Amino acid sequence: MDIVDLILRNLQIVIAVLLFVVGWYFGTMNERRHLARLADEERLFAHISISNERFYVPAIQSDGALVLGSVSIAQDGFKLIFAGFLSLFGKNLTVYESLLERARREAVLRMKRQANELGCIHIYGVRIETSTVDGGGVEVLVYGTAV
Amino acid sequence: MQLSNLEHLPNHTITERLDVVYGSTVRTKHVGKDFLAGLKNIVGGELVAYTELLEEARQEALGRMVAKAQALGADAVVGIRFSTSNVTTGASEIFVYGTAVKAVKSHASFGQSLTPFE
Repeated sequence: MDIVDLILRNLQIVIAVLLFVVGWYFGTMNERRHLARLADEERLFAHISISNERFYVPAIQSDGALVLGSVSIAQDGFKLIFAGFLSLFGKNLTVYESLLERARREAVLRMKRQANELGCIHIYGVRIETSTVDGGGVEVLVYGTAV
Repeated sequence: MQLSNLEHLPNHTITERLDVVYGSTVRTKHVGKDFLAGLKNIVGGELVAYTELLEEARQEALGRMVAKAQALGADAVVGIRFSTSNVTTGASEIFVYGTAVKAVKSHASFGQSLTPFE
């Protein structure tokens, strides 16, 4: 029996393993690149202060504008499998923690970018909302009033 | 039309509260895009098509809310909140609501209209 025959016979297993490896590799690479970009852009918009205190009023006289930032992000296949494994033991789902963390930072950045285009330096009354999209992804919406 | 998600309006004094106004849209995904998103699930990363879709839907919901506020003769909508819910698999509803108010520009000290319990 030659190797091609063996692969064809166990095609489902081969595909599963392949997806696992592809997910692992690209997922890790993606995450690292994303984190680096987040750090860069956060430095760029560091002058915009944000707050979610209800009664905080920045000392600046200007009209407010509603600014939004949102992002939909998918979990990679490797981590999904890993999460399934972890959930057997009831531990922290660290892989999801990092996904949500990245999504939130990204959404905040997009909101800040919008405020920056309007020439605003404070955003207050910030609300953060999370919802699921089909297939293991999450959507994060951040909004606030920029002045 | 001024929009704000605060309980007041920066640099304005609210003179009259009119009504709660809302807008909503229900959207489903494009089949092709859905398929691509499924592929993206393998490697992870941002689902650009979904982000755009939800952003578009949100703008439309906001637009509908603003139209209702304008019909009431409002100057602004304050206390805006967004909510997203899955109505069925593959479709989600974007809902946005707020209070339509009449407001005038205030030249007094900033934050004058910030009395939470009038």
